[in-house]
Amino acid sequence: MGHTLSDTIDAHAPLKIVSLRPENLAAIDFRVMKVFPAFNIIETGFRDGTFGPNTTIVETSSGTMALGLAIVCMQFSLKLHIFGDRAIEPPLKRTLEELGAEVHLVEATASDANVQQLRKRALLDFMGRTGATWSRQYDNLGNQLSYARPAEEAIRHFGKIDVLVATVGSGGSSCGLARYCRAFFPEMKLIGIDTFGSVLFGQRARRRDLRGLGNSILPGNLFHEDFDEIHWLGANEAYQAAHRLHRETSLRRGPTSGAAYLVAKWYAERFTKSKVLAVFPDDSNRYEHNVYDPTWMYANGYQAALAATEPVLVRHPLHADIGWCRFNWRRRPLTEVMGDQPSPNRGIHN
Amino acid sequence: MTEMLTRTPGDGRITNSHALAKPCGVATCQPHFGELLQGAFAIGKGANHRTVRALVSVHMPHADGAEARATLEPSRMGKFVPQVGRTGIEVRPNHFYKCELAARLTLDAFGMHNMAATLEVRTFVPEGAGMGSSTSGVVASIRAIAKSVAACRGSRVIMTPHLQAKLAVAAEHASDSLMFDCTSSTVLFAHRVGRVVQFFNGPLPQMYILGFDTGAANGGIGTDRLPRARYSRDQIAAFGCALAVLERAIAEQSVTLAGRVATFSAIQSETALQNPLKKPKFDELLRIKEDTGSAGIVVAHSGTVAGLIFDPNLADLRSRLDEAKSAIGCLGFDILCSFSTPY
Repeated sequence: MGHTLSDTIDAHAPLKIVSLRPENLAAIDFRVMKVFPAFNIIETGFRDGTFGPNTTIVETSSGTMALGLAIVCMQFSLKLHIFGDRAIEPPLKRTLEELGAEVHLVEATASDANVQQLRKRALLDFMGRTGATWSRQYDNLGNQLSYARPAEEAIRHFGKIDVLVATVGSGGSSCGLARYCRAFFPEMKLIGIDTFGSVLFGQRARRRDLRGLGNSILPGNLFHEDFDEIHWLGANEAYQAAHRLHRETSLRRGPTSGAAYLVAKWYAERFTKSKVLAVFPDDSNRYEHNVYDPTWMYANGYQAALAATEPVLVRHPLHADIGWCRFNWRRRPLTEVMGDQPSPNRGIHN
Repeated sequence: MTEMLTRTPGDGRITNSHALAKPCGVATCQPHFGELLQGAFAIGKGANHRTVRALVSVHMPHADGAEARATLEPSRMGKFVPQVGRTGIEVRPNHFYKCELAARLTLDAFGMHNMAATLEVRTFVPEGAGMGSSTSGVVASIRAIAKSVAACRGSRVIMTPHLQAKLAVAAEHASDSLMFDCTSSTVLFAHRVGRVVQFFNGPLPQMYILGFDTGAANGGIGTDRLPRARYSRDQIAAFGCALAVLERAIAEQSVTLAGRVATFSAIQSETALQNPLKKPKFDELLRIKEDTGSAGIVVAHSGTVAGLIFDPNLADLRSRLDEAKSAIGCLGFDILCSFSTPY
């Protein structure tokens, strides 16, 4: 079993480090990144004795963590219940169910600001009734630990890393990769990518069109002091970036990968002597019928001409409101950043 | 390394000037200076997955370590076992029991279970410093016995580093990787198993090391009684990354990257989950490393020595070394040596 499991993980997330243009740019091309934290959390649970063969695992997720857990739980023959919202569209729901997971969708629009609260309430209610065990992707430190091997492969193939560009959702991959890279390269810059209306870096919770990054709660795995710079992207910017990634590299990936590509390429072109590594967490499976469907894109008003192509430097997280914004976080805690009063200037171009 | 190839009397072939001498052999082994990397490494996949303790020694190829002279005593045949006092090996100094055991095990490996021998070992390495005082004596003894066996048989004897490693660990439970040639490749050596975990594709980059002793006043460390460091899962995960950095350091022949590995490993030794081996004034040492443009800090993970790593191609190497020497002197540590490694 152990043997086949590591093969299975390799098959879903082969950990390819892809060299891109310009030559100082590369990416970890995960495809199903969340297989790593899912495996680590489950394995740690078995090791600590918190999980047994009859444990039922529960988790809130509307995306790749659900898929990662479903793959791993299927391999371990563990029961899995996923609490998601309508961001779990029928094809993903069918995939999860075929892997043996039960999917519970809360009655909320996918973009509601408080969607995570609603998913969590449903999960806690289920736990109360059944005694199931929550894998806690947002607070489980095994989540960070699982990114040591990806960091190892990145260093093996790309060498010293000067700038790491990662989208942020749970903080697991961004802070986890940075932790292990910085054990050797403490000066490495960590650039986080968030979206407008996500609370991760000081914005107020509101409806988010771009999913797969950002969050409506603050996860325990997110260490604000790790970040040198934060970029906020809108949905259109990320969708167009996914297309650009496909056109320029032939890699057909999801919008979170597109977002990482957009920001990392911007860095690599500006700082030609720095080696920039982007994190591509997802593939395009979930996006063929929307982001990669021109009819859907047109009907929803996502047009290339409307997307920002350069970041606007803002002086406070609350000034970031539309398009593409960036902010010098400078490895500070959230409270310190938010304590800085917003200045009246609403943004300076670069 | 000197060699005395004599033949056993009566085998009818040419012997050298010591016509009646017993078959003997002389061999040496160089010391090392701490470890560039030492920790616990998760290796293998699936069912083969395991964690092994392993290290990458910093060799001192130009320094004197130990010299051993072995003489076989065919007149003293007996029933011998690899147990101190019953080995049939007369060792001088007589408390060098690890060398005694290594010599017995080596003779046994050649099928010479009944052969007695005398063994003289001279060592130039301080004990407890983490410079391989024990292993260099053991390896020199193994090599000297092998040469004496060659002399006895009148034929060449090939003693691979792998066999030396196996015998050394059998004799002393944990060995440094001194038996391997550091100029052709780098090895990650499982020092308690006696096996190579990983061969790297080349030697370490050439480094210049300023070495000093952080514990001379306390008389060194009894490495045999030192409790093993235990590392957290987080640290073991990071040790895997260290191997990747080391691979790049070797591929690029980058002193900068090798230095990062050394500093990382030194910090893990300081912060092990259990039984860390703390060097006095470690934070000050890190500061001196920064201030003098040193690439990294190498420490003995079971000993008292430490050193600053410099790129030998730095234009202002001399002045940086002078600066580092005086800063280390101010901390109260004695400068021991400065040397080039791995060649």
